[in-house]
Amino acid sequence: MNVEASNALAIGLIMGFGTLGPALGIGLIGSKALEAVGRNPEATDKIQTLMILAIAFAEAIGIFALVVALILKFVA
Amino acid sequence: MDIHIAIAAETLGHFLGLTITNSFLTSIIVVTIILAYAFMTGKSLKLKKPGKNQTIVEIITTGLYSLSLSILGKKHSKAYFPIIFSFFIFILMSNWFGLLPFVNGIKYTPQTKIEETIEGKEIHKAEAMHLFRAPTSDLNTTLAVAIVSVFLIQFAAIKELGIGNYSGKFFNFKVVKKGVMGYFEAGINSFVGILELLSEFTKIISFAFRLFGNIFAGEVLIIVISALTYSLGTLPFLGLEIFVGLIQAFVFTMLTLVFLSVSISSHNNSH
Repeated sequence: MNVEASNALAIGLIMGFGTLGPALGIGLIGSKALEAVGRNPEATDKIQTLMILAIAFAEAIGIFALVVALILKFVA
Repeated sequence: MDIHIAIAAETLGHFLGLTITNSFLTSIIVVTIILAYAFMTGKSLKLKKPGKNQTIVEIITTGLYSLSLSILGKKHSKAYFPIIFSFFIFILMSNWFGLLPFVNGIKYTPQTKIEETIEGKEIHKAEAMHLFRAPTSDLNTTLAVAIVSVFLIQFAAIKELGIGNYSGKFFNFKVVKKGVMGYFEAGINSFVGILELLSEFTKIISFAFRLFGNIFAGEVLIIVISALTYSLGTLPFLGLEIFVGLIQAFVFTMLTLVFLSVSISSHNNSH
């Protein structure tokens, strides 16, 4: 396998595996937030902001994978 | 199908030794627009019959101010809300500026130096580049905003807690008095302190890359989709990007608020 092919493969693998974890995490956060809203609808506003905050943290991991993939694609 | 994607901002030219990139130019335009709108609205503020502009500005400001009140409290909100709101407006406008139709459309070919001379003919090599680029899709802008945000958090903590209490968050040797176990505890504390000090710096990286990654990925997505489909095909993605731009500006503001409230609440009272 030459360098270009392995580079392209690495980019695909990074995006595939790197977004798997954050996707699961965001799904869990969303489902738990919905559960919480279902139990206590008055606290929707507070839960919503906290949920967005938690999603931002989980999403950051996926973004790091994206940045590595972008560097491999356009810089290296 | 030609897809022109540049991960770094492209240099348009030099002015007084300062490199002018397309994202720098756009950020100046964005700031000018925000300032002009703020002055225009600020001059015509009315208490009795507010105009359209005033109502819009009031809705946005009070919405975020109530969020700030719920996180920081009244006293700190008065001090720190203006700069945090400035972050929000600048990031939001930068994100949305990149979605305007002409941003991807206008190309600019700079005058370049003579690259080579073949048989007496001078050959100019110049590549067409975008004249505009969303400021937040350039890592330099997001890094600058992130550094300002994290240093604001540190300075606020020093101002509110005093330099002694602030450094006590990271290095706490008061437990040494307790004897041999005290030394052990102080050792663990200082190790945790080093980790916490490090995490302050990782905040900068995470702030910068989150914003940059989201906005840049959005732009790449729109460019790729518009190369694959006709113009209407990008419409749902433009809607998504408007939403993502708002969410990212909100997340940046929210994280700054939360980190600020954590850092200025005194740590030692709980012990």
